[in-house]
Amino acid sequence: MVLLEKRVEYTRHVWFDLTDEPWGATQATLRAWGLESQRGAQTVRHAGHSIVSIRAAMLERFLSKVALAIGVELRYGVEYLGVCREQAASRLWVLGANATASERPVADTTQLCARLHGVEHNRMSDIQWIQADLLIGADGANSRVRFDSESAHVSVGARY
Amino acid sequence: MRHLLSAIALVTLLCAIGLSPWRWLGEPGSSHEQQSQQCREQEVGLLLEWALDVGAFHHATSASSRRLASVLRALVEQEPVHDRASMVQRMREAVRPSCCGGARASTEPAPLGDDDLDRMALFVGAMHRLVRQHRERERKDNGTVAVVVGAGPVGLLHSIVSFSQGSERRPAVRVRASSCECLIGSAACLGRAHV
Repeated sequence: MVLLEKRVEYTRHVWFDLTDEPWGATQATLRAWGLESQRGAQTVRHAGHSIVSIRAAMLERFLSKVALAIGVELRYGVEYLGVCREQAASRLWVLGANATASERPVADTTQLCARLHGVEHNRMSDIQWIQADLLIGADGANSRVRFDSESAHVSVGARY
Repeated sequence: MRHLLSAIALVTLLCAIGLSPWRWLGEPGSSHEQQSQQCREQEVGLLLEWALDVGAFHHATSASSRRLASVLRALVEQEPVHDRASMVQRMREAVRPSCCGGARASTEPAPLGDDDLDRMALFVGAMHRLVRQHRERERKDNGTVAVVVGAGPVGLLHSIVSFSQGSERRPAVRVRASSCECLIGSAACLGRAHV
C-alpha cells in the first residue's frame, strides 16, 4: 500500500464531523485505534446529537500516525501526475512527481504512457513510476484520478 | 618498584572502601555508556511524545517522524504488555538500534509519567490488533498492490482499513472523492468537513 500526498504538512483547520450509529461506526473505530490516548486531539460534542467534531488537521495527523505504525508507505510532497495501463501485464503504472520541485516535469499523461513500452521511463528520475493493481482516488471533489480513469488511455471502468 | 607497590596498595585500599579509582582516572567506555544510556532515555521520551501527541506530528515528512514510526512499528509487532515496567523495557529495547549515540545527550531526559505509559500501552495494544486485522485483509487481497492518491482523512482511512479487491477484474480504479463515502466495510461513514 502506497499513499501519495502532495502536501508536506497538515494545516487544514476546518471542522470534521465524525458520524456514529446508526450512520456508521467511525467514532467507535477511532476510539478503538486509540484516538482518546492522544493529547491535542480534542473532540467537541454537540448537545442532542451523536455527531462529534474534530479539527481536520488533528484527525489527519492521528490517522497518518496510525498508517505509519501499521506499515503503510506514505510519500509526502509527491503529486499525482497520471496513470497508464500496461496491456501485457494487466497492471497500472501510477505516475508521481516532486510537488515541491521548482521545475515541473512534463505532465502530459498520454506522452508519458507512450514511453511505458520502452525502458525510457527508468531514466526519468524526476518522475516516480509505481506499479499497481488498484488505484484509489481520494483526491477531493475535483478528483484528477476520476478524470484520468474516464479518459481513453486508461480504459478501466472507475467505480464510485 | 617502590612506587609501583605504593600505587597497588593505594588502589587496593580504595577498592576495599568501595571507591573505584578508574572513575577518576577515566574508565574506558564509561562516559560513552553513560551518554548512550541518557540518549536512550531521551529517545524513549521522544517516542512517547511522538506516539501520544498529535501536535508532535506536525511535520509528517521529517526524518525523525519516520525513524520514530519505525520504532513504534517494532513495538507494535510484539505482543502488547499491560504493566508500566514492561512497557518501559520494551520501549528501551525498541529505541536501541536508532539511538543517537550521545549527540543530544546534553540535556536531562524528561521523567516518564505513569499516565503516559498507561496510554502508550493502550495505543500499542490498539495498533497491535489493527496490524493483525490488516495482515488478514492483505492475505485476502492476495498480494494486490494499491496506490491511494490523497492523504486526507478519506485516503488515510482507506489505506488503514485496506481494500477488498474481491473477484473484480484487475486492474481497477476506484474514486473516493467525497468524505461522505462509506469506507469501513459497508457500515461506516467517516463524516463530513465544514468550516
